[in-house]
Amino acid sequence: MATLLLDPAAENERLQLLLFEMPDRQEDFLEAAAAEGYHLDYTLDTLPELERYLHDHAAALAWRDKSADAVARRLDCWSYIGETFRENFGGGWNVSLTDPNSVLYGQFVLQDFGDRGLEFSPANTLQAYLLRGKPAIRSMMEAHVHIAPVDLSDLPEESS
Amino acid sequence: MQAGGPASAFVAPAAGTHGPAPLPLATQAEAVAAATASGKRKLVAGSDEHKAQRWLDFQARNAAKAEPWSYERWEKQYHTNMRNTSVGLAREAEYRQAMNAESKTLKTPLTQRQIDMYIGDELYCGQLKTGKMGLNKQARTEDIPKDGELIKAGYQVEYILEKGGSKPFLTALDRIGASYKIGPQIP
Repeated sequence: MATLLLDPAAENERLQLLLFEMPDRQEDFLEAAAAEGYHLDYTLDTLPELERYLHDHAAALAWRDKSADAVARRLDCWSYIGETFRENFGGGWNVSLTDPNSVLYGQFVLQDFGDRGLEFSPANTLQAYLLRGKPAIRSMMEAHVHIAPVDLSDLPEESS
Repeated sequence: MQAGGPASAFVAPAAGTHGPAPLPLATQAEAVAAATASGKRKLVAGSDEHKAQRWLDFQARNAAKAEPWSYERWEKQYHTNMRNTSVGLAREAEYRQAMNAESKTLKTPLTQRQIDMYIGDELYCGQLKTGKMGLNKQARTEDIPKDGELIKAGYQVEYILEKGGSKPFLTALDRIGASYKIGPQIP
């Protein structure tokens, strides 16, 4: 499958619109969540609270539901994940356009955090949690900033 | 240049001594120059540039008292392996078609990871191995640690091991939380 090359200017317009609407949408989301008993304030400690919200609203948020209502609900959730990442680990929103073959190409991501040039995708993080209920959202975030590769040094190296 | 020694280490095999020269001298020189200039750029397997660089690498890795293969023997192995690479790539394409997957890449904290079969709706990263897999240096120090980072970031990583894997290789997959299937998964 060939990747359709995206127009950077059009993608930036899409990003600016997202960021323009985000404060009002997030305010409404947090108020509605609070009314249902979920306390969300962009601290890392509230991520288990977001996970509780995701469990309780699993049917309305189901990844395979492509209705406008489900998409809008998920948008508010991954915007919250992205803003929590930004508040705690730095960086800013952008559209991933560096590598047309990348899994993240065309996605809204957080960039400019840490020193490895990584991108954090709030939507993929939400998707992983909705699909599998693990890993914890906080640990998926921290995997992008606290790097600790698996140690396989105790296993023998083989020739082929 | 990687640890392949200087370009002057490339010695064209003399006809009659090591079999027919593999490339015309001018082409060899160009390939070596290109290989030398390539730095850490990933070379395309099977290209003249790749072949010249791998011959340099091979020579540099032999100890002084070792008895390295002749160029003729080395070249035969090179072409066998390149054919296997083509077969592996073709098989990957068959899996992608069967699974409605794509070939993708993703930058991990440990540099870029090539994903043989990626399914976006599942965040599924499939890796195909058509030969028996051991925990070689590439797998132990690069591929599996990168896959571990993908799993930590929420992706599912699955290996399809058409001819199985060694115990250390499977242990390493277990350790990062990757799943695996043994044997061909498509006809």
